[in-house]
Amino acid sequence: MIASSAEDSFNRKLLNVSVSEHAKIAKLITKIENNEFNVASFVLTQNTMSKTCIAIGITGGAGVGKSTFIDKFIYQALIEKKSVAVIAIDPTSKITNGTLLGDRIRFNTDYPSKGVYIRSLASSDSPTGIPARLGDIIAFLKILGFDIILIETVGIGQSDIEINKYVEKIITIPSHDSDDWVQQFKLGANEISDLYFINKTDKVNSTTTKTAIEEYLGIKYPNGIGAPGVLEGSALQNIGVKTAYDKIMGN
Amino acid sequence: MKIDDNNRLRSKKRILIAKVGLDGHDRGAKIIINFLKESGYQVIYSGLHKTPEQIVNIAIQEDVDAVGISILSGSHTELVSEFFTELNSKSLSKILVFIGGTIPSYDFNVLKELGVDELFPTGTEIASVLFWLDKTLQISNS
Repeated sequence: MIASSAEDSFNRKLLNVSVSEHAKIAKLITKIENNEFNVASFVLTQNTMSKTCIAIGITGGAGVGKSTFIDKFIYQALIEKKSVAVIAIDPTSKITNGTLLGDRIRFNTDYPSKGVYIRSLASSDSPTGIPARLGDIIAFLKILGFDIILIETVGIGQSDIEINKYVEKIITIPSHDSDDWVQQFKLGANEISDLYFINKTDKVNSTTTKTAIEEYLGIKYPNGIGAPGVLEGSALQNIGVKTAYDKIMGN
Repeated sequence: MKIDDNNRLRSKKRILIAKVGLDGHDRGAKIIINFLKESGYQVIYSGLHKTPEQIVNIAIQEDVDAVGISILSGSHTELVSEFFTELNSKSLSKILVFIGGTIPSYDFNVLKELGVDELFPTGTEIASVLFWLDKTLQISNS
């Protein structure tokens, strides 16, 4: 397809873009999703990447509190004057092709509008729950110069570890229903997690969940060296999220 | 319900459904959300009690094709006016805007003059929302 000259000049305007220009970022992500924008060639036109950027995956089952955790994590990042981009993935129905992108409901903190860019993505026809263009979208956000990129996965099951290919760190929010040791030994997420955040301690007694995870980690890391931390807290009440932030950011 | 060609076309389109101001009546919004989702659209929900500025920011960040605002509080004229002031200063492209809820017919023209593309007051047949979106977003309906 040959672009009209109006389209061409629209594209040129888009390419001159900074982290606070959300309208342009949004248009470009749509173009990446539709295979209309080549991120690899965009890299060559930009003079950035001098900044350090960390992409963090937030994963866990449906309803464990991934979005609420991210809401408070963003708040911590803003205190440290970091720029944040969030990609929140929700599942596309394999029956109707429709998607309810509902993570926004939990992003309630009134952040300064320029500091945080949030984009919901449909998993589309991906069998892994990872949208086809996620790698390019993360690369694009890194080039723009965001300090922190948070990727919220779809609610995962026992064997979903695809996110591991796309991010530097992974925080897992365990389900309180997998408090049986054998569930922890089987769980794919346990092979990729850098940190656990056991959520909803204001509502649920988390002792058995913590014990089950620590039993697994005690066998996997007999000397404790390199073992991921296991934290407890309540994202809703903003308890423990600062500790998780400091730990994952290496503060 | 099965995936047909229209569902596939709709699955590229993004619709924001938003609740604005002091208004907790969200059953209508939920019905619309589920209906559009089952028709194949990508539907983003804002959650309750958003300001007009927050809704515009969501619409911009999410690069939506259309925004549907549900209002049952009676403050539609003021809120929609604020919404368009923000939208017109921030948007890079045309975003369709439709309003649903308890909107008296004597306010229709005021809202349309502010920039609203279509109104779906209480009592609307739900299929007419889909029909209008399909037609306006050029989803073939044959």
